[in-house]
Amino acid sequence: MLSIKGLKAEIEGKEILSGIDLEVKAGEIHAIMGPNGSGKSTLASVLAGREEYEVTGGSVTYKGKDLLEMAAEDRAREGVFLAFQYPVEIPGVSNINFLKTALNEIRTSKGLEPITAKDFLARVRERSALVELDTKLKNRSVNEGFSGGEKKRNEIFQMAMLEPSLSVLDETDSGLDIDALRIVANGVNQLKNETNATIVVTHYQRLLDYIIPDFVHVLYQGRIVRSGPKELAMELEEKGYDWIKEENGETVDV
Amino acid sequence: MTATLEMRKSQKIREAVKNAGCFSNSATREADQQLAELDLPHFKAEAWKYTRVGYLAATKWSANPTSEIYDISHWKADPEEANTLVFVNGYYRADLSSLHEMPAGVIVTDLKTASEYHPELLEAQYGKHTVNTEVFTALNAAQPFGGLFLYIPDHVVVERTVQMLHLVTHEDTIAQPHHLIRVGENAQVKLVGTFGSINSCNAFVNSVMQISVGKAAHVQYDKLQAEDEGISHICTEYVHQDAQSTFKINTITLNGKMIRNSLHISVNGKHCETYLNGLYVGKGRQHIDNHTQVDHRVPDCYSEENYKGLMDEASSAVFNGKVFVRQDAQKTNAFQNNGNILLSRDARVNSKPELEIYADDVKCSHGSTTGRLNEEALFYLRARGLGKHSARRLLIAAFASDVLESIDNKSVRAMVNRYLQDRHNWSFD
Ligand SMILES: Nc1ncnc2c1ncn2[C@@H]1O[C@H](COP(=O)(O)OP(=O)(O)O)[C@@H](O)[C@H]1O
Ligand SMILES: [Mg+2]
Repeated sequence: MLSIKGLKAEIEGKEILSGIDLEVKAGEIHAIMGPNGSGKSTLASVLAGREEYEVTGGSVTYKGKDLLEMAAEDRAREGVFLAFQYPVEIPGVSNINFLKTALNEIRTSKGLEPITAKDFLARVRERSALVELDTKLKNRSVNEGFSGGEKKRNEIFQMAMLEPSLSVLDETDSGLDIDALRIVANGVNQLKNETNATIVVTHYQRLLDYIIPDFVHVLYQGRIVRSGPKELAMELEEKGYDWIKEENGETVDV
Repeated sequence: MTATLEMRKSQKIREAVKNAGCFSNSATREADQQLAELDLPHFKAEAWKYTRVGYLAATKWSANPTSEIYDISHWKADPEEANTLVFVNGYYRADLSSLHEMPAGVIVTDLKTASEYHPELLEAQYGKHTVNTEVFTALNAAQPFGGLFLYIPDHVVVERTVQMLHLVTHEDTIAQPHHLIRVGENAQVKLVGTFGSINSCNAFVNSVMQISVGKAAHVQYDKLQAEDEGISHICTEYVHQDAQSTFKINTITLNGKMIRNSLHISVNGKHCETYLNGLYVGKGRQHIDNHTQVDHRVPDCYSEENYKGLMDEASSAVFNGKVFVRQDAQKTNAFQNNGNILLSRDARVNSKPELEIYADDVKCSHGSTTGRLNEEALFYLRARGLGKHSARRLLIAAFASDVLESIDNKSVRAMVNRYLQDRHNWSFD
């Protein structure tokens, strides 16, 4: 589904991604871990099509197409979904109208009729229940005045509504208490099937107790320095990131 | 030297409208005498610093009382219901207007008829609140071409909207409508003013309106300015509020070459409420200037002002909101906000809130912001599949929504939406 080869990206002349290789197949869950500032969000943003980042090398193929050539909205229409680390508050834009517009633009791009009001509402009811999103939040302005946890749930609610093929969840666990974490993870697991894939970006191993990855990758200084099965996450939890830093030639204060 | 040159400019326009008025009395003659002493505003004058009007003297304007017939259906508010008075080039057109039966005692007619049948009422009202040291007011007051004369007795609630539908047509036309509205004690009315143009690339509309809002009366005025790109419009309102009254005005400016709104509201009795909302949308090389003034002269009043601007291409806007709180006006609550979004690199806005507060026990605030559409929000929306255009449209609609929602008249709101759709390809539903 997704094939990243030698991907390099910079912002304002500063190289952040220094050659990333990653293969993701349908039905798989990949976890990307790494210390703060290692480039995880940058990778997620580049995949979603954020224009501030300049891709300086490598390639990304998604469902056989050159992803890097596509505008952000076209990627979304082709099934790429980014759950933002910091979801934006958009005062005055109703959560539900925005989702309806999004859904219908995606449908139109596929030559489908707009969803009927009835089907839309039914889907909203079903999918918001999945992440136990407070009904009041659906009608409010996008993320405006939402708590940190509500914003994250709203991201997963949107994911549930749009049914993407490739979801990139950027630190969806941060700021969640254990109950919220379980709810969000449960939502992700229920949406999981043989035809879609998920990349879970996280700083902590905690989320991976609930969303079991098929592969774990460690991103450090813009490179994937280690890949392995889910046990790698445990190892990281035990040893901490200093272990990775030392291995990569950085001196660490103990 | 400059002074005489400028003097000649205002006198050129004075010449152009000579004998074009629909009536004359001592008040019009007095205005004309004052006009003889006035220049067009110099750009060094604070109130005209960012808006140049000297070019208005370059055209040889002519008054044009045409009797041509137009299709006005799409300009009509509440088509079956409203009292619609049509003014073409500033002159009243009884043949295009539609008047309905009104509650007893209400006079709804045109200025010329009022001067013939109700001269004493007209005299009592005309020029009472206008300031003839303002050159465009004097110019208009000296030669009013036509206008609405609306007299609502005490305790009468007028259910049907009263609309002033203005059209200007032909090249080099000058139009000077002048509306006189008196709303009695405890009375109510909803007004709509629409301004449009037909087949004209150069015209000048100089309009004046006087509204007396009686004690505990309610007046709402939805004003839509949508003349074509070549039309200049100087639009001046004088509003006088008595105690416990409520006055609401929405000023929506969607087109025109140079639009200057001068809104003067004087709050003269306790426990009044005043609401001023505005939306201006610029494109091309349009220039839109809103000068508003709320004069709190007495205690215990509330005023709330919210103007929003969306400026595209090389358009420019001016916002100047003056709020006076006089020494006696204790316990005044006055709030003002002006927000602008620049949709292009070349668009400009000069925003200046001006609070002059001489009382010490008051609650007043003002805010002014000018920025671009939020890039983070645009990316967020696009990352969910919205195209660039829809993402922009959603953010623009969100920005303008509070002002649009304050428009009371549904058909005016529909007109605004239609206009924004046609001119900017923004659909706001
Ligand atoms: N807009 C930006 N401008 C400059 N530097 C940035 C910008 N965004 C991210 N960076 C830098 O890129 C590096 C990687 O950031 P990020 O991808 O957010 O890391 P992570 O998500 O792994 O914590 C950091 O050093 C950060 O400071
Ligand atoms: Mg991050």
